[in-house]
Amino acid sequence: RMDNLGKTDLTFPLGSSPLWEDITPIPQDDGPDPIVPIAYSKHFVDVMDHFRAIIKKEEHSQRALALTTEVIKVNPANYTGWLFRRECLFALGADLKQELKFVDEIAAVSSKNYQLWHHRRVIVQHMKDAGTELEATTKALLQDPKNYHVWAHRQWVLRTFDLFQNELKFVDLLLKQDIRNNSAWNQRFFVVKNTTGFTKEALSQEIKYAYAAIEKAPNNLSPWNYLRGLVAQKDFDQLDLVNSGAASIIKKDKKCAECYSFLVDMALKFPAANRLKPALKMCEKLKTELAQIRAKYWEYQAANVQAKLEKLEEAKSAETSGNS
Amino acid sequence: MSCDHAHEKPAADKAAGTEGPGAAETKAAKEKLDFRKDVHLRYFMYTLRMLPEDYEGFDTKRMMILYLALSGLDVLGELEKVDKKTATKAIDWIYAMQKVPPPKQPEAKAHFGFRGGPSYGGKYDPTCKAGGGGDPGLSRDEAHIAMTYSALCALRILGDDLGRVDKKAITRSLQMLQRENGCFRCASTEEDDMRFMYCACVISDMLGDWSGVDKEAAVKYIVESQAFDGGIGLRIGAEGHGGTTYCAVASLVLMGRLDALKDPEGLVRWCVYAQGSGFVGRPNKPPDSCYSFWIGATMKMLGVYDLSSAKDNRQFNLRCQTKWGGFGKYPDVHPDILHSYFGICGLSMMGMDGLRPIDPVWGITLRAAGKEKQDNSAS
Repeated sequence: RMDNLGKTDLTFPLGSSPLWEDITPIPQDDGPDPIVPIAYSKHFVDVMDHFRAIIKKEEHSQRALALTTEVIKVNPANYTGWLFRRECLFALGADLKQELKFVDEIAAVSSKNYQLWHHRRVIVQHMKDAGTELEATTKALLQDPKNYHVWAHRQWVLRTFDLFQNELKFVDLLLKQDIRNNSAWNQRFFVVKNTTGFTKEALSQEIKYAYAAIEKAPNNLSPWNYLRGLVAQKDFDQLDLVNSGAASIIKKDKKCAECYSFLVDMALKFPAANRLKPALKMCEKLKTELAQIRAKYWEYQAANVQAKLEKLEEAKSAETSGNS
Repeated sequence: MSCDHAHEKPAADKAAGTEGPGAAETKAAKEKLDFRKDVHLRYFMYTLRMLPEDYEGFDTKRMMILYLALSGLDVLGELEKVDKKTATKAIDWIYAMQKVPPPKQPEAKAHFGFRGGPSYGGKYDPTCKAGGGGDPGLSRDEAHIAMTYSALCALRILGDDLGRVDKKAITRSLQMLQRENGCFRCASTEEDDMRFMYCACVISDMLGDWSGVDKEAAVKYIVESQAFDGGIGLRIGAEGHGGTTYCAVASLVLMGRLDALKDPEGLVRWCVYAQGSGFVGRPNKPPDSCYSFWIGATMKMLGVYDLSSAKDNRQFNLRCQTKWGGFGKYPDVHPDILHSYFGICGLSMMGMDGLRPIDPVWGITLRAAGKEKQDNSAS
């Protein structure tokens, strides 16, 4: 798949080309009887033997740059190849925008590659310009909406160059395509956290956003986790909004396992007898009927609820006996 | 959650009790669920002997593949199939991959430890005399933290006493690899992330020397990396992910700081919810055999492994076996060494017969870790 990418003028085998006449290829020394040896192709050996020679010479020339293209193509995870390539690019004053286009090409075939995204990061840092990056990551994510590397790179770009302005719109777009895209939900949290922060207004808006998504797919775990993230914010005081949202979900779907699971967590987080007692019933319902694969977890949660109830009761009776 | 995963029910459920094609489907499905140790043994043995051309992309990670294959054989209880000659050559090869300080400069500042392969190293030399230097290799040659971890594991599995390991050089190198934010790079020119945090911690624990790790900074980084849903990501802000959650939790356990987590109950919930049939790496993604280890081991370390459904986990993993040997990430895909190893580890943690128990923190068998007397599988 790599064959047609990053066309260079190199001809193979390199040794037969006058361009490399002065170079003595350096083979690797794998010992007399290697373990886990790879059945390298002749081409791989040709490229790597010449690359070793070029490294030894510390040569950052055009032909060296072209060679790094081949090194990356035969092994996109070769971080020394990417590193030496950068050195050539910077030494030659190469067109870095063009380089990013080359990286795009490789990403199209090998997008789950840490080195590629690290390379992008260094190039962009060098350019001090993230101009291309939102577009490049948008394109990549529209194709592969959960690509972990791309999301990590995009977060780096947003943070480093303060480009948050249109990010919530982008998250909206992805969630319209797939309301279950957990990466997009994570990004939403990241944006709010790094822009407005979780103010009262932001919390209120985000709670409503989460419930709107839940209405579309009530057992979608991502927005329920998002809600859990919201209620965990400092000095959270919008319980009424959260509870009314949950109540309306239950009204529409009495078997919504995720809603009950969430309400159990809420009872544990904001303990009160009128939340904990129903929570025990919910654990039972989840265990026996709605989410049996997690039966043991519901027992565990029920034990947690019970413990909190007992603690409340203890505190109450201590208070009462203190007052009498 | 069961409705969201209905499409993943095994074929056996659909075909149960019917005649004709249904019955054949049931039989085939049942056969698929037998653990075929013999083909997996073959798979790991072949891996040691030769990797096909399409493993060229793993050229800088051969040390890791060696660890996965040897540990896989160990978990299968078949390590003795590796004859003495092969074991000796493996140990020598591992030591030849060690980068040690130059002669007369034992305190030299560079990244020492183990390489993934001989690509940029110099002359093959397994002797590694302390301060002996060996061949420094090409100018960009350096160790790789994950390969150092893999090498130490492989040596322990083969029963080597680490006598040729330059422990001080490795520990000093860890110091160099730790960044101000507390996390670790894998090499001096590369990025830091949670995987290498784990490597730094487990290496320190194996060598019995934590002087290369600023624990406070490391713990702070991990705690900040816990996402709002309880899972832990590759970096701060990143999505919670099964592999990185394992790395983070294991690191905290190794540093004795599991108590530092801000949302321990969220973590438990995140792990429990990661199981539909098999385990997923992130919410709303399909189950993948390797997560039975990453998340299973995390749950072991948290003492909540019993909250998972071993039956569903086992069924899914077994369906990921291939007829050629090894496991794929999903049922009916080609095997690869990573999923083969972690798929089998997942089965071992369920206590499947004939598989050796694993130390969830070091990622090798209790036997290789020398911890058989203290079985740490808390749940």
